[in-house]
Amino acid sequence: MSFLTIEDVTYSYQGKNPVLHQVNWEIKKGEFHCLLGKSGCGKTTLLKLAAGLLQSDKGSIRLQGSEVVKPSPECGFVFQSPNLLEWKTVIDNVLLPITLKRKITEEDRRQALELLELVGLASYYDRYPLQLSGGQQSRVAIVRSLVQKPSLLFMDEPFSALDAITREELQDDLLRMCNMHNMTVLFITHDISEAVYLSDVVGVMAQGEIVYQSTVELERPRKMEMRYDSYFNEFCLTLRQVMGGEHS
Amino acid sequence: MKKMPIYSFLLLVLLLALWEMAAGTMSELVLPAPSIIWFTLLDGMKSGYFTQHIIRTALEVLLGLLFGGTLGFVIGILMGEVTFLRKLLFPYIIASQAVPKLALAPLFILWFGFGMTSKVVITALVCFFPLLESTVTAIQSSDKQKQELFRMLGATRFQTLIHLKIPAGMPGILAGLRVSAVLAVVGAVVGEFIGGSEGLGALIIASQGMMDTPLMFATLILLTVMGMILYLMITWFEKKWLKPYKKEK
Amino acid sequence: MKLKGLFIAILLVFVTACGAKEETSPAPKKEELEKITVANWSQPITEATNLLVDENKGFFKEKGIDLTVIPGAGGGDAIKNVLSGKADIAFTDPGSLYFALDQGEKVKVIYNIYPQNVFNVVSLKEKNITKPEDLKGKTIGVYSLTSGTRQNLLVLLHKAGLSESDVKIVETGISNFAPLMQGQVDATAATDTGLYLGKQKGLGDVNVMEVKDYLNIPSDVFVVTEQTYEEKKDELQKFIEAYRNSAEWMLGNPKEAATLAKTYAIDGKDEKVNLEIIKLRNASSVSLETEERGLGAIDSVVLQEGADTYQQLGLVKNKLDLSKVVSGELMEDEEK
Repeated sequence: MSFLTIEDVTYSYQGKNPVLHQVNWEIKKGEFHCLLGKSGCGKTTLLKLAAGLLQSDKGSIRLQGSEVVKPSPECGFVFQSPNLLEWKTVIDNVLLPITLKRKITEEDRRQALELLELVGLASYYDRYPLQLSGGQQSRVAIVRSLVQKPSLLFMDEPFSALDAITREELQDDLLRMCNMHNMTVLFITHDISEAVYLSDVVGVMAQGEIVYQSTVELERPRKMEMRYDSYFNEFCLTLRQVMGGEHS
Repeated sequence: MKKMPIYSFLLLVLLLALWEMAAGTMSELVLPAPSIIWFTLLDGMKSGYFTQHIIRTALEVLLGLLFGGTLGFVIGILMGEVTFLRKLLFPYIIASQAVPKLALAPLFILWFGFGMTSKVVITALVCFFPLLESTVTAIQSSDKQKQELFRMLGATRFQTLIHLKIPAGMPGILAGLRVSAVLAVVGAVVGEFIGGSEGLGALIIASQGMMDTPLMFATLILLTVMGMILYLMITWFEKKWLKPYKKEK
Repeated sequence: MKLKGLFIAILLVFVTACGAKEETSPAPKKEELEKITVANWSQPITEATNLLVDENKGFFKEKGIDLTVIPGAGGGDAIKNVLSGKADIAFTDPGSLYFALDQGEKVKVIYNIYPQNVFNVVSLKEKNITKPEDLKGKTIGVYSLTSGTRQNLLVLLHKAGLSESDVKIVETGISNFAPLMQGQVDATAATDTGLYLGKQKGLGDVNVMEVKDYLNIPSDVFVVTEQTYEEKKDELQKFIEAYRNSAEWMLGNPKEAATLAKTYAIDGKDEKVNLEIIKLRNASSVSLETEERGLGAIDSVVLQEGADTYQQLGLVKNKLDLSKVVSGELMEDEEK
């Protein structure tokens, strides 16, 4: 049963050529989907449409049956850069989504600290974002997206600015949290091995269309060693060929 | 480099010594010596001569800063948020920048009388524009990505203003406040020059008639100190507020 | 939140400020007190202490007058404020009076504040300038080209048969003794109080020519518009009575006035200086006429002569008729 359905979606920015052309995609509950593609293929636009930040020109997007017209508290969004508010502490940043809706309770605080503990940042709760490293800021941003206990998580290349080791650590953190809360995730990236490591289903986008789709048959929980075994590498090679292919 | 404050202080001592020597050759009316000015200052402070004037000018400055600054801030927010307003008022704001506000002082004395009201109005007008400008710029220049975050979180326009745009713009707004503070002292003094019976500006005019140049200098020193205190207060406040904005070890 | 606290603080200051902004005291107003505003030619200075101490001495309050004094930048300012309705009475000099009359303004002189002319021309002894004729070809300093010092200098020159073109007049500002002491001018046109202050600041031996020895035009008078004169006769009369009392008090109690000047006058820093200034002003408040007819007695003959001289000097264009302008009526009523 579909959790998020993207049906025949077409979108173009004002007066320009269509960025997305009749895109179809379906995510089932609890699945981790990745969209791969070169810059400019429209994946960020698709993500924003799915999140309700943009409205499609044609086609529809439905979340659990109802039409998506604007951002919903059911969905979390993690941007390319952490986008933390520099003048608020880590804990206040994490609690921001709740602050905008109602007064913070002790329970809210406790849960936020628990989430921070999951990423190992509980002791940083009263620090300011600029005192944290890039990786730490990204973790805080992820925690923020989870504080309203969303059922669906949208992530727009959240780890692209980090170094390889930190990226792998964060990928493991993410998978752990998703597993704990049975999250559904739509994840955008241009990093092939990241896509394969994280997801259940990988899609490749090019010039506003989905050109390839495949299921990743690796068991969970994912382990670091899996990155270097033959199935993983063959899968990556296939994806690489698909991505490189449009120019031939 | 640690010795810099000492060097600056030594420079001051040297300048004062030179001044003292130069003043010895001239009449007190033209250039009084620092020692005489110092005694006049001390004397006036002890006898309470300066007290009411200091309070008067300080009150005018603070009230003018409060009203002019607050008004500039509020209208700045409105103009920053509402494009229609901004485009409507923009040419008038530009035009009024060219008007030397202090030249309007006699007009305000005419309209608002010789009491404190006219001085507060002049000062408020002078403080209004720097704060208006810095607020409009600050509101308009908030990070687009963060605005998207707030949209994602379902924030209302007002919430985005309070939680994002204003805090994000504080560095710029406080810089505008700093400029206003210094100008506020000028505004109050000019108002008193033109039609004042009390205050440090009025005292400068009076010291002319009293042919008391040391008194004039002493009053100038008091005004400078007042301006400096105000400036430093705002700078201190800026540092405290803006601490998180800067990277720290 | 921090913002809320800041907002409340601002609100509190606002409320306090509204209380502080009130110039008049919040004491309950008695219906009998009539508001009278005097437009002064200067800031509140020691010279006019008797006008400034009503809070303490109550001369005006006991006549049922709630007195306000507003500052000015010269006699012209004072008359302007009266003409524009900002004040009822102008404390101004005859020169400004003549100019107003020349413009066709309808005003009346109701009291002679300083019947003695206080203006002078001062020069260092070595210049040997002892009579007006000696000023020919000399450089003379005045406060400004619109000031009473210049006008009275011209009157002095006129009486000696000289005109403005026979001398070089230079604007020096109010601190006019510095250029004299430094030799930048040969003589300076000043006042009695100015001379006293100059001597305090190190002015050496000087020759002084008093304008009053040549034409004793009063230094300051109270002027009102004809309209105010008609409409507020009673209040003006009470005002004059009160002012007379205050002047008499200052005449008899200069030391007390000097002490009060410390609080009420902006230039009242030094009690000893205050005393000397008050003594000088006391001396200029009395004349033969005041001995006979009481303080404030107006000599319309000399005022007319002044107007005529101003016309001859070209300072005013028209022939002014002071007989219609001067009114001792308010003072005569009292004497009856």
